[in-house]
Amino acid sequence: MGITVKGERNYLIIKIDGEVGEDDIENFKTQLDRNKNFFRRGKVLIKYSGESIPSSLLNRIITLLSDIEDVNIIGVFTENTMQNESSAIVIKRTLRSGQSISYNGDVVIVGDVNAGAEVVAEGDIIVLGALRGLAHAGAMGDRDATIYAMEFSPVQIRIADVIARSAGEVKNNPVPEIARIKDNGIIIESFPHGGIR
Amino acid sequence: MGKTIVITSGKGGVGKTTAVANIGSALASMDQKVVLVDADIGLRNLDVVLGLENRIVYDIVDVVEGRAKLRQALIKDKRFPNLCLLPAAQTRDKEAVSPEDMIRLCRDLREEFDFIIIDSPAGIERGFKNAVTPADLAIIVTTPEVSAVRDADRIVGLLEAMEKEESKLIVNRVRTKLVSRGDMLSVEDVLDILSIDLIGVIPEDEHIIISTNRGEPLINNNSAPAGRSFLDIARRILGEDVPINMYTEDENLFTRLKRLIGWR
Repeated sequence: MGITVKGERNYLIIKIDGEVGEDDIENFKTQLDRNKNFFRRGKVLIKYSGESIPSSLLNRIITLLSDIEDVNIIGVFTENTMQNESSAIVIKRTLRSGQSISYNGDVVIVGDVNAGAEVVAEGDIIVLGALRGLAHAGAMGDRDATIYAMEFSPVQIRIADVIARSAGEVKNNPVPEIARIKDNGIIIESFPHGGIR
Repeated sequence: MGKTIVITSGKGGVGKTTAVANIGSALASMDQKVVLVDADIGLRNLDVVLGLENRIVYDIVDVVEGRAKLRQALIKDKRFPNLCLLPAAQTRDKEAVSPEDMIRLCRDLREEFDFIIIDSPAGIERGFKNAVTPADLAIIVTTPEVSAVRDADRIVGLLEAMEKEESKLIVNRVRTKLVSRGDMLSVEDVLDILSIDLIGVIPEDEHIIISTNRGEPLINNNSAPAGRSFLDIARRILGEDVPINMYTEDENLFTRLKRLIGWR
């Protein structure tokens, strides 16, 4: 919720989540004032979690930013544009032992990923089947990447630089699950109806 | 024109050679002309399992290198007049034969036989490629063990990459008691992972050990559950619609007699 700032590779990302109140903007302003050097001559991306950003809000943020010397706003992304930006590859078969896929975007597999197979993606990994092999999402360091599977029984999963091993228990009634990073560890939770967020 | 079938597995010791010997003799007993080709050059076994070791004069490498005619190298099985063996060489290695040699060889064999059954070596290297390249149908043998299923999965992937469309599965050495206790993968578990067509299930059967040591195919022995399962596979290969039947160990002559006369 609110406005958060973080650095990602060459960019500063200002993330606007959900409802933004007056105090969120005040907070953002003090953050800016405190870290003027951090923002100076930076390339800034604005990411908005909704479908389209209210122009009044956008204007206020741009005005605040323009107080800082040489800030360069290179883009404003909303959920719509972000979807258009990301590229995904769809694999319409089962990946068997010894086969591997690596891709610089999201990977969707319409089939199983069997033990001994590997999927490596810069973005998310979505398996419309059973995940039994190795999956590595966010392989270039994106800790927000997720791994989704209809049936989760991988040997090992990796998100960015975090590795999780399977506990080895066998589930009798597999349900769709999603894995992501929380507090520096990977958590796997059941995928709710209607999705996450 | 004959059909070329390769029997392969990836993992060793799961029963490829036994399957070749028994399916081959079963097809031969059904009036099909069958030739068995041992592609496991350097580690030949098929001749031993068939009890034909002492009759080898020329082998597959002799044929490929032109020292013998195909007809000279083929060994006729006296028990099954329709069954022939083309033995592997024991003193050479897999590099002695190329996939192109195998295609040529099978093209010649097709003229004369209804079925060419190739016994593939374990592994995924040259010997595997030699065995698989000429085949129209691949039969993959696995046991209900995680490691064997893993290797079978690798093989299915390699066959797909070689554009061998038709593959079937045999699950060998199934122990019903262990499966029902949950201590062994079931046939359904294996099919779930491999998702290819099943052509047969063979129960664990000590008759197999006796028959391979004696060099006599099992299919003549009516009391052996594995032998009956192999006969069923042969009938499925011929296009018959035979339901998968799990023959049990205690279905011997005595219990069958008891069942026939209605005494339990």
